[in-house]
Amino acid sequence: MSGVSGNRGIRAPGSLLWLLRHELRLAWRGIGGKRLWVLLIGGGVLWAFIHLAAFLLLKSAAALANDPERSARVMAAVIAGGGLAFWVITTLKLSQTIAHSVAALFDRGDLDLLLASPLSPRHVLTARALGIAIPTLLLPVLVLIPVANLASFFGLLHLLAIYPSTAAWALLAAAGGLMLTMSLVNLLGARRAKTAAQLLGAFIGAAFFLMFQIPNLFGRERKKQFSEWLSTHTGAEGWFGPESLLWLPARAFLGEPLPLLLFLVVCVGGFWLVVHLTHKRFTDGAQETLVGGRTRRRADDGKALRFHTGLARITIVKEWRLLWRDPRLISQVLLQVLYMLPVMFIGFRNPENIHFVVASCVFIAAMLAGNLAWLTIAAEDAPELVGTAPVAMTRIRYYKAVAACVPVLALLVPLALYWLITNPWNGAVLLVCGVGATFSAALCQVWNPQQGNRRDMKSRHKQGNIIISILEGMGSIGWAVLATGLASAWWWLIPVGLVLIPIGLGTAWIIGRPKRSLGMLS
Amino acid sequence: MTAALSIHGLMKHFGGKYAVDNLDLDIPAGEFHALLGPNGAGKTTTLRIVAGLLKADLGSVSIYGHDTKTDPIAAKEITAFLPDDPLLYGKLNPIEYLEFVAGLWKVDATQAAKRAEDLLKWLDLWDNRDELIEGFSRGMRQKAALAGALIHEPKLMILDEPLTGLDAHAARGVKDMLVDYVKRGNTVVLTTHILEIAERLAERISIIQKGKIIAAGTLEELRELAGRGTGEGADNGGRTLEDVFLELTQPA
Repeated sequence: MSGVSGNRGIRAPGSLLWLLRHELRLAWRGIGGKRLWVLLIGGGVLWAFIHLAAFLLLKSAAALANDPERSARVMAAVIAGGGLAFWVITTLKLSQTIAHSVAALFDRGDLDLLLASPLSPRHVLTARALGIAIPTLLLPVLVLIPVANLASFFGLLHLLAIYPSTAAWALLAAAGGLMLTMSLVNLLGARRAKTAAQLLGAFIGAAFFLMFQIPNLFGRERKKQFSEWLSTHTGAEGWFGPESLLWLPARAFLGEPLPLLLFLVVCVGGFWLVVHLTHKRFTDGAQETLVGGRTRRRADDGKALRFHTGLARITIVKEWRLLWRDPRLISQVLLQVLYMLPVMFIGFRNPENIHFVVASCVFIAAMLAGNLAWLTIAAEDAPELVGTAPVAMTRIRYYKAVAACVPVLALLVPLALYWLITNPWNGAVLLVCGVGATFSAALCQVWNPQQGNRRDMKSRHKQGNIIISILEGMGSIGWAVLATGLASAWWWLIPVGLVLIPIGLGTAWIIGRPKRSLGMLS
Repeated sequence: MTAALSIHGLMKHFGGKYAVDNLDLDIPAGEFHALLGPNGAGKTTTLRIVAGLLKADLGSVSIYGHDTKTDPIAAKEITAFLPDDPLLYGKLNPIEYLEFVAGLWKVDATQAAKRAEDLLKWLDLWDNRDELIEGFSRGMRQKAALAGALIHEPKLMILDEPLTGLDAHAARGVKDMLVDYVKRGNTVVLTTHILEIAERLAERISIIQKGKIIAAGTLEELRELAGRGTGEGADNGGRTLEDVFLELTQPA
């Protein structure tokens, strides 16, 4: 059976466009509510400003036509800069499309319905893949399309190539994300691939950030060597020279005919090929996820069960198990630490920046503790079970806060102890302020229990109570400011920190009182 | 005699609508009681208030004499609540789950471990004890939740549609277990849409509609009540609970 779409037109029920419309409608409603209007109005105003900036840019570009030598220099810089930006953004898009591919395959939604229908699985996957591509258009549409929109006013018609190039770029990112995810499904099986793809997506996103930090980690001599190496390879014949194939996408966007053609063929062809090659595996993978992989852990045949005593111990161990067994959460949390590594290295290399490092460590400790406490307290998987237990909810929340704080302290305390030996004052400041910041952030969650879902951790500040987030942030910033003041002997900062901390914590305690006294879920 | 569950003047509203409207219900200890009602009648809301998951606007609930408002911990210690779609920890295996539940109810660790083994074997989950719950089927999840409800040996069990998702063997096993559990002097309050279960298991049945108990009693008493409404009097011995339920809950 060829599918129900038959020859009833491209918008007929079951056709690709019909499916795509369905995908877009769901995505659109997902944004939803009042936020949508804020985004639309805010986005519209921003887009208008970008059009204005594009107008000024194009005006200058048009003026260059009278100065061929300068025009060539500018063009070379635009190609190299644009090319570099293309690859950096492509990496970020890849991270985004891997996440969306995982969601398309594993967060089933209506996938069961679609695959059980007489529609062609290839149609279903093509629509899903286009649905994955579309969100990646946001940044280029915001930044590049205004240039294309105004290009014809200045006679720069070659810039109209931005339109097809932008669409092709989105297809390339979707194909890349889908291919990587499906390769992982092939290699590891559906269940393990989910975890691996989530980790891959997260770390691809971080990789470029860390790569750009590498020069900061070099000493003066190494930096000089790196500059020499870079200038050699950015020369006319170098890997990164103006004629490099790496910059071909930038040339496509600028409307050079051959690069444009090649770029479109690679992107559209790549997309078609990936959908064509993976649709069967996609269906199989989807069925595997439907059946649900069983996670068998160690088997202790013959051994009698042994339970542990003590609610505190049982609750804390349970929370650690839940955190540890969710690699996606671990990766999200570890990424925060990863982003801080360059800052640490700067501190270790240049002792004069140590106060900055101390403050950063204090802030990151608070951020980690806040996220982990949110996961353990707000994102409780079985609130009804805990709610019906003969234990005060507040007591359980305190145990959960401890479960959240211990991993943070396990990272923080060794660093503080190292500094206590090498630089006692800063070590002491880090220890006191770091521990204080960690507990402050966790207490905000204990005092203001909210209900959330683990997978929303990254957006917890947007989805939860905004006031609690502000108060938690106020406490964290207060501790970081206090640490900066103490470590750098900028004494005027100390009272600022000492005011921010009690305001944040005190208000969080006061506004959480009615909810705490309720002792119930709602 | 102390009632296992005593509810008086219970009120709860959501928005402008009363989900529970001045509800009174007394269930003696050692009774198998079924709470029936159409969708949206207020069954689940009532049970969630009894379990301590929702705060009532007005009224009182006491479990074996412990007021759930003034002495909630004592009331919860002897109660188990099994919701219709129990939320479990996907990343724990059933043993870890039961260890946590036993810890919450302060069950002695050695006793709890023994009981967990018995429950998992009885519920056919022993071979799956090292698997994470996230890979379980609906029926297996329901069994794991049931094991959690039983591990602390509650005196009052509140079950919201407990047989959903269970296969015939498991459903039969659960029904037999509940009957045996009541025979040992404990109390079960159960909601179900499968009226045949209530008809066969429950000693007394309450019918709730629009947040109020509109009828309560044994099946015979309910038959008589329904018969009075239709003018058939006592001559209605052949009527099933389904007939009686439809009769009593039909729109005016």
